[in-house]
Amino acid sequence: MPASNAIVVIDDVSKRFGNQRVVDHLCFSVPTGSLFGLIGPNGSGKTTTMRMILRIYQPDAGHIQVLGKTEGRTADSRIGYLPEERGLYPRMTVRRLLRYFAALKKVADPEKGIEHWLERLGMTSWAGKRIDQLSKGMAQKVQFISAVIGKPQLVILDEPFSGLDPVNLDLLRSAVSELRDAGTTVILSTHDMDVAQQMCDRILMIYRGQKVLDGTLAEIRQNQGKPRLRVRMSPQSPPPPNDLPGVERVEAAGDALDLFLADSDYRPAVLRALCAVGDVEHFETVRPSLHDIFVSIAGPEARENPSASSLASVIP
Amino acid sequence: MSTILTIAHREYIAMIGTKAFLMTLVLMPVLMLGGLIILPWATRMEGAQERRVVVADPHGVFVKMLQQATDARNASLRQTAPPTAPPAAGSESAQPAPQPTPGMMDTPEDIYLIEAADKTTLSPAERLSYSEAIRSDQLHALVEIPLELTDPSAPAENRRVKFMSNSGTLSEIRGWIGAILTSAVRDQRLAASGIDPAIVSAANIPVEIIPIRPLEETSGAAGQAGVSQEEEESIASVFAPFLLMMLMFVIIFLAAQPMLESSMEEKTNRISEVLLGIVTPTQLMGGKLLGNVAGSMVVFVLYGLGGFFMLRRFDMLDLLPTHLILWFLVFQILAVLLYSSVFLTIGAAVSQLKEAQSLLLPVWLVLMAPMMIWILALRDPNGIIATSMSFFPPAAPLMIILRLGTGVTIPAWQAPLAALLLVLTVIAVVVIAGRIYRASLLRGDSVRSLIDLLRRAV
Repeated sequence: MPASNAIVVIDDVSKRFGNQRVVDHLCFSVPTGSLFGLIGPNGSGKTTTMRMILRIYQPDAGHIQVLGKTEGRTADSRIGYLPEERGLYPRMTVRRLLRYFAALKKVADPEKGIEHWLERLGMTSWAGKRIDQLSKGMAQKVQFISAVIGKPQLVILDEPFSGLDPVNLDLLRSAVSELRDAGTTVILSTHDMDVAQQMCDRILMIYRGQKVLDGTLAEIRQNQGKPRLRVRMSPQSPPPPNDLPGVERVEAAGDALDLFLADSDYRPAVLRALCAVGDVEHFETVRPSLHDIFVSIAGPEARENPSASSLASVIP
Repeated sequence: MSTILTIAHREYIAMIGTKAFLMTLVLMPVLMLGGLIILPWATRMEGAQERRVVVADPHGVFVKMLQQATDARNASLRQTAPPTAPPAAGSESAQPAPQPTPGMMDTPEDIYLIEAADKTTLSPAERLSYSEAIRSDQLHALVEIPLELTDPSAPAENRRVKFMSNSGTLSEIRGWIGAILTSAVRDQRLAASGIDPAIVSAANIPVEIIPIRPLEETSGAAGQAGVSQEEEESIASVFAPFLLMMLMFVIIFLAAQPMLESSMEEKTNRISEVLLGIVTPTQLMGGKLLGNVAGSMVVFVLYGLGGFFMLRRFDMLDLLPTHLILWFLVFQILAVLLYSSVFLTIGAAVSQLKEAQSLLLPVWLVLMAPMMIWILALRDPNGIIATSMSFFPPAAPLMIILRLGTGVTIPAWQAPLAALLLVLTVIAVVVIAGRIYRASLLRGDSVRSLIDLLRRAV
């Protein structure tokens, strides 16, 4: 059920292009004021979902509620959008372009916002330059400003950090966090799992048009797959026995071993068994990273053997 | 509405603020009227040339006639008076040729120098020698007059005068010499028959038929004032409709072409998606078309003012078709909306200019159809071809303006009906184009044919 404070509610939405079902019975909601991460492999339906939120596309089935509105084909100036493919008029100057977008969004006093963001992103001296004179990173920052000018309530950013150098990456990441801190809801699509892991309050993963992950990072890691133990015995100790209770598989991890358990409940029994054979220097329950989870769902192994992937088990 | 006006303003600035637009604005009339303006100007810049011609005349009389005529012509030119027609020596019946009125189209006249050849009949070696002189530009032409020139019973090929030159086909002096020789030979033949050439000349004076318009009550009774008006109308009835039609074409071209480029730029640079996140496709298209119409008005005003000052400069303001301005604007706006929406849609449906060009070919053909038959329409503005094409909406703007510009009375209901049909067509095309535009903006593939394009509407 959608949260009562949701700014976006996607309810059983499907969308086809020709014979291809791009979005398949998708359900999720975006809490107001959150930084919501949208992840998934290329072609999984993320961009189509975002375009439906923006009303650029209409769903074939299901309902979409955005900012309290469930119907309409009208673009909403309360929403800011940064598409994956950057689009700016090459012959316009930065300031004229930002004024133009501000006017389209009916921003009352655009100059103040333009100055704030130009200064915030170190672009003040570039305001009079034409777009085609800017570097890719600079143009990306202009595109970002055009999306957030006028303080929209909802900002949708499709791959906002791709192609940025580390300095500009940090600058834009802090700007996005600043937006969230100021109360703006941000939907962020990214292929960078570190970004999603570090920045997002909630993460949704779409795979083949369907939802496969939805929750906070902690919830996702808690519920993802089988538990894993990382142990290291002292050099004098003999290797762990092969018949450790509940251990299905053992893999080397540097000077340690990763023990894959059938269930978390086996952890005390495994520790006792290891202590019985020698000195245990390191014993840790390892939670899978978002990258591991992503790969386990959408990696080559999962694609070749869909039944082996744990799609059904990862949705909290 | 403010969103549409914002988009329209940007499109307007983008359209009229480009160097390409300004260049086209200047170059288009030059290309269209280049023959009328550039050629005389270039000739004036080049200045008068001296044309030396050697004449081999076995009769001995014709070369003298030519020299006398040349002397008279050159003397006339030196006095900077309009050139006189070549008088036929010994003839009182030579008619003065029409003298051009001095004006912007005047070009300087070349000076002709006629010399008698060393021999009256040339050998092949002598001809070769003169040929070398012509190739090296020491001589303009060699004229060989045959012995049987005046004998009407001789075979035609034996009576032919040979004119050897580097550019004999287009040579003005060839025609000038031909006119003198024709007159002289005719007079000789008449004299040989005992007929006074003056009587024949008087009998051959042609009947002049002056085209006049039906009189209207406001024009008063026919009289002396009416005669001067007739001559001006005959010029206006040819040039005014053509220029009006060309002006309409240029405005449509200047307005529609930027729509194609703008649409393609927004698609290929991925600006469309950014815009569609803020405005609806209908607002986007509406704003673009509105800005485009505003840009076309600028073209109209600039060319209109240019035409006004040009006509005033040459004291021809009464040729200004002020009574057509309203109709011109109505059809201009409708035509710009029609063609701009088509160009806009094609721009959104393709990814490369060459793909657009193949789709635009039939559109251009339809637009230019009235220009291909403009002479027919001019001869008979109320004929079946001109009338039926007026009710074919894509061709109507040019055809109606062409017909109205002739000054011929066109049934009063035809222009409003053509405008009404055009309005209905514009509405239908804009709606269909809007659907295709929406469907095409975010698609990466291109349409290959007009059928594919129309499929996107459904």
